[in-house]
Amino acid sequence: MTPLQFIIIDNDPVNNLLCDLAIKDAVADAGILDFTEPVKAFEYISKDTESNNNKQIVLLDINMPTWTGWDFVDHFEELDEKIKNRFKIYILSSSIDNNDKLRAVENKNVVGYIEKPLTEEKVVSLL
Amino acid sequence: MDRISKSDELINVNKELAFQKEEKKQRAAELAIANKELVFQNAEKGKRAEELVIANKELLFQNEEKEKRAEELVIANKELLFQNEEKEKRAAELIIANKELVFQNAEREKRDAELVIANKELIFQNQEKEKRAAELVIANAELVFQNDQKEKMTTDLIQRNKDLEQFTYIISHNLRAPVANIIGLSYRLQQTGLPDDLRSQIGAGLSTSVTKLDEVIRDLNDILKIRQKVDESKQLINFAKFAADIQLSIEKMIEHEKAVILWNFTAAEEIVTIKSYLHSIFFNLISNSLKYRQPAVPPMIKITSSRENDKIVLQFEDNGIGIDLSKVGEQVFGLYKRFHTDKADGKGMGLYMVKTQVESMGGKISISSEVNAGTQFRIEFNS
Repeated sequence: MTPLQFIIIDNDPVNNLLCDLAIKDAVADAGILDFTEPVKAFEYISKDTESNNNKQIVLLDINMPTWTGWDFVDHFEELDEKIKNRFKIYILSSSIDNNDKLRAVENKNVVGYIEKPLTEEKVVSLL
Repeated sequence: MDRISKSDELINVNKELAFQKEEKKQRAAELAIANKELVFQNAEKGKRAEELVIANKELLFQNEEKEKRAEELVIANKELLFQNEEKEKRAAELIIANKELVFQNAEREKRDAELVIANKELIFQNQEKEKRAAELVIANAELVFQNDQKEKMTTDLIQRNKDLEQFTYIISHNLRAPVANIIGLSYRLQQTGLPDDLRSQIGAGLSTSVTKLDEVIRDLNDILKIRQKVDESKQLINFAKFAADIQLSIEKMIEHEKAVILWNFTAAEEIVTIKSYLHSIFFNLISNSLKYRQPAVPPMIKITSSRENDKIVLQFEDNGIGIDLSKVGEQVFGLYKRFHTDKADGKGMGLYMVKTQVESMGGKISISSEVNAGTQFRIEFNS
């Protein structure tokens, strides 16, 4: 059975540490990759032509320099369906603004919205 | 007797002869006169004959002329005949055309009659519309007035709304981000049996997040201060002295970057403004130029002033890395907007503050830039 793979995209290293801990609490053998630059994460994802791992969960922050989370999703939309099907994108944001939640729900490439901080319970609810 | 008689007779004969001689003389004289008369008459006839010859020649000439004229008349006559035929043809055509026109005229008259009716209808409708228009003009004036009032209110509300949006954004993103971290980290701290290295990582994370939280609160405080009614009084500032003071205050930074700052304020030497805002504007724009310099080129900053109508314009120009405005546009002035993560440690506050300060003084700021060539800021102040 292929292990779950988590990809965290957030320029805030403290958040990434918390994500790492929460994910390990929920899924001990999960793979975790974190990117502080969304462009690099996108490069990684768009090169994933081989893995065939359909269980990759992307935790994407909104408020980042260079690319915002929304910019990332726009670029993701351009990718091949085969690649897109391997990733489930969740917006992980500190925002408590309802507009951000609505925007996440309305985007067909976004599966859900998670409010920071990420906890074990929140990770479990994704599975 | 005989002798006497003879003599007498001789005398008588003599007398008779004398008389006859006299008679002949008279006759001769008469003949001479008659002759002369004839000679004269002859001469007269000669003259008349000559005159007749001349008259004859004249008549001959006139005859010839008349014949020529007659020939010309014959030709002219033919021409007239031809023209007459043409005119008849034309007349026939005109008759046809005339009939057509008569028909068309009749049609037009019908049409005219219809138009007259339609016209009356339109006149009536027009009058109605004019009445309506007059009513609308009055209503319009009322609406224009109300619109003006509303526009003023709308502009004011839009500005306030933008401010509020900005604050909502700050509160939901930038203020909450460190708070979310603190929630997560403090939850972790409550766990027992944490490895030492993780505990210290969490401690460092807490420290970072609290510092960040404090920063955002301080930023909010700074922004709110500008947003409040400008309470600091304006003062007369000499640009050249002001720029020199700022340069001195950041001397080390300029030396470190090997930067050159040039200014020319001859076109507008002074301004009445809020000193602390102007300081922030100069400081932020200069330090931006130093932060976003081209690695291989020593930074060069040019600051100039000018007058345009009743405005004082400040221009800041650098030779830095520039920014692609087609991508970021007005966001360049947005709060916590950053575009060069790899280049410098900006936090997206400087240009937001500059714009807020310029606008709070009723001014305007605009940017133009070219990647790898430089950036220009243009600030208009109402003088």
